[in-house]
Amino acid sequence: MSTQDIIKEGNKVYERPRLLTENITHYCPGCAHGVVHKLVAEVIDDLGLEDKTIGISPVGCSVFAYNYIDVDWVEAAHGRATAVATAISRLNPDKVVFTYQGDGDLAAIGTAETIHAANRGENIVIVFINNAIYGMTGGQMAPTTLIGQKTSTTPYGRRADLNGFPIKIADILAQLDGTCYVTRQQVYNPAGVRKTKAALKKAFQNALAKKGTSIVEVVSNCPSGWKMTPEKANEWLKEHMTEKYPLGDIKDTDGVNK
Amino acid sequence: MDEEVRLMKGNEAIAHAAIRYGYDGYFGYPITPQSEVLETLEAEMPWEKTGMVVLQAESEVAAINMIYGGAASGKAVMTSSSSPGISLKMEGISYIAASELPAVILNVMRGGPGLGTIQPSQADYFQATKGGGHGDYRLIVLSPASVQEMADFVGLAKDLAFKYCNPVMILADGIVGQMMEKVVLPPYHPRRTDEEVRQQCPWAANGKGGRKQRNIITSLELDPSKMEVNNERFQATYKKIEENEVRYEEFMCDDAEYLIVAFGTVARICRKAIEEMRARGIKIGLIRPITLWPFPTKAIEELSKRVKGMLCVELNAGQMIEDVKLAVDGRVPVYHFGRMGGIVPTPDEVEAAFQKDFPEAENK
Amino acid sequence: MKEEIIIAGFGGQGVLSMGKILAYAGLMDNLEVTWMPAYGPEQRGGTANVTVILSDQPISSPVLNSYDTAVLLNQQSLDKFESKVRPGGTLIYDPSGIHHQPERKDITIIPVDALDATLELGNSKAYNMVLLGALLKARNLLSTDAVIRGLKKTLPERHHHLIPINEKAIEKGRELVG
Repeated sequence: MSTQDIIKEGNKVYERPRLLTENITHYCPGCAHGVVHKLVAEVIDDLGLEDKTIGISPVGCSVFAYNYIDVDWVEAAHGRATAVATAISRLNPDKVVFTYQGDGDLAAIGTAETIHAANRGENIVIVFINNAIYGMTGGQMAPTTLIGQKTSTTPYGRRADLNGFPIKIADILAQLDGTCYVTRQQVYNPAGVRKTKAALKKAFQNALAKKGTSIVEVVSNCPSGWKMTPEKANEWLKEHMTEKYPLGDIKDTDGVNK
Repeated sequence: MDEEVRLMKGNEAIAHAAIRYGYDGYFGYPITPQSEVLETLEAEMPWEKTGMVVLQAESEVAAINMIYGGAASGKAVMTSSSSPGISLKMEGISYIAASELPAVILNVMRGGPGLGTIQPSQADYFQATKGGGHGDYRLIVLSPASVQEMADFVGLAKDLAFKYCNPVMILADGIVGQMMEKVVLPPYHPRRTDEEVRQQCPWAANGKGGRKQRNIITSLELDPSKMEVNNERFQATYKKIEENEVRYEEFMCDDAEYLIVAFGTVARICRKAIEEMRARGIKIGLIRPITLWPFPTKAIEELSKRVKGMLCVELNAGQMIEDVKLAVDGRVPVYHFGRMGGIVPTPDEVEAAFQKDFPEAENK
Repeated sequence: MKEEIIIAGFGGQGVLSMGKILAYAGLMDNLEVTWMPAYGPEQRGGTANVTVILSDQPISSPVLNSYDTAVLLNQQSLDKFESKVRPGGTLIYDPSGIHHQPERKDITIIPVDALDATLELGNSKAYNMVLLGALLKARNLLSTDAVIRGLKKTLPERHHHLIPINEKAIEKGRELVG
């Protein structure tokens, strides 16, 4: 049997999502951004939203998200993605707007914008990648860095007395009246990937139906920043991250009563 | 609806003009002495009349980034603040300039630095005309001297912003923000439809909507050689603006032997001083830059060949005078008279300053 | 015609709104007007003043060295602005609560017992209208019709039932000048 016999429509079990561009990502080996990008691209395509979606990329490793998913994008200043999203969504109410942000962007410098956009119940999707570290700038402490976790600015491990506690921003957002759906997922195994995709789909559907703000947190890894192999990083994630950041839906409602 | 004659504060005129000139959105945060802009817009409920979006943001930082988002989607948007709040907006303004987006920013200046006072000032001239935020960018800066100009410049600023895809700042002082005068409000201009936005702003990130290529609005370019090309493009735009958009007003300059240079409401205080000095036989005139950037360098250069000296009057320690001196290039003496921290001089004080700097003019 | 007026007193005495009614009335009479408050953080109790200019010509400076007319409602304002009235000009003040009376000989000084008049009218909010009436009479400014229309423009619609009492107060102020 030749390869030509194998590569035919009937045998196809997987293909590159249509809305993922041909650009090679700049992400490190083992990084979960690629998986989440793929899921976002698939969900946008599955829901037929290619023509009406606008993404907001953050500052951080995913600053170049606009190079990889084939929809319109606006690159925001550090932490301001939800403010940018607010205006685009309000001025273009028939469009679907999502932000794609990391922990430093969303839960440190952009805390105010995040909380107030969610509190206003903006009809947007916030995709939140929590890997407990600043990847792009070289592995500094993030607001979500665990106690004891070593980073380049906590070289002896994070100490609560010096650096405060890791912040569970999704739980905070779930308490706000403006959020309709808050969930925490992972993508280190196939089951997690499937659940994350379902969560993203629900979030985009909520935005389409103007149900309020949806937040999909993905507890993620950073092999380079954590100074581990990809495999070891996923084990560490399983063991430590999900203890502090338990997986599952934190809030799931029929929509915000505005 | 037609134009309408009203009596109102400059800040209120800004709000009414924004609705009537067909702005799509306003995003702001309260700060004295300009809160009437947001208050008036909320009271007018333009979303019911024209569909204009009005939102009180959680901070000046959020507001300017909302402007960035709105502009990125091709909409006509504006924000307003006063000095400390404008400092907070500077990062966002740099992003808007670097992304070549049209946006309008109003600064109703108060006395600084720091939290300062809430009284009138012009101490943000450098910030507005020389950068303020990071990087080699320029704002078109309009300086209104009356409530009527506050209203008119809302329209002019929008036109210039879209013409050059560049942010425009209306740099007002607290006087013209808080003062009430007669104003002719413009007739209602319809907001652009989404279809018109797609036609007129093919670069906008408003959903692909059948476009083959996605639109990306970003100021990031990690390749320095490409970033230099971007900068060269910005500079070419600025050059075009300098060639086409200089605006100024002359008053009694034809036979003037001396000149006062002043902008904003201060120019009107100087005008009164000039009327009084003219009555005593002193040949003195006024040039009022209306665009602070691009600055009327050529006009001042020409005048400097005919007069014996100039006095710059500003509500600051001497900022615009640097641009005046560059234009004059040492041909005649240029002096400065300024009040700071929110103090506004009277016409008498301006006269006294002139007499001190140019005693020979009085003795003739 | 050009009239340059300063009105000064405590915040809460209706200084700014008196100026506003004057300005609106000027607009109704097709005059050029400016209304420039010395604005401060005070809502009530602090000092407040407003410069109003009415003119049939375009107005240059909204900031003035001196005034044709001053309406001064407390001691601080009297101390500050008595000297700024132009020779031949008019100073109107309420003598209640004033311990140093104005002394200029080259201007017309008109004391107006506005507080007493207001108490007689039974509406403390009409205080500034009594003084406005005095000002209009003393300087022969503006048509009555323009003032009433100015009043209507200044008052929010829900307060329009107060227009008759305000009209009465203005009339009372006119009478007090005699």
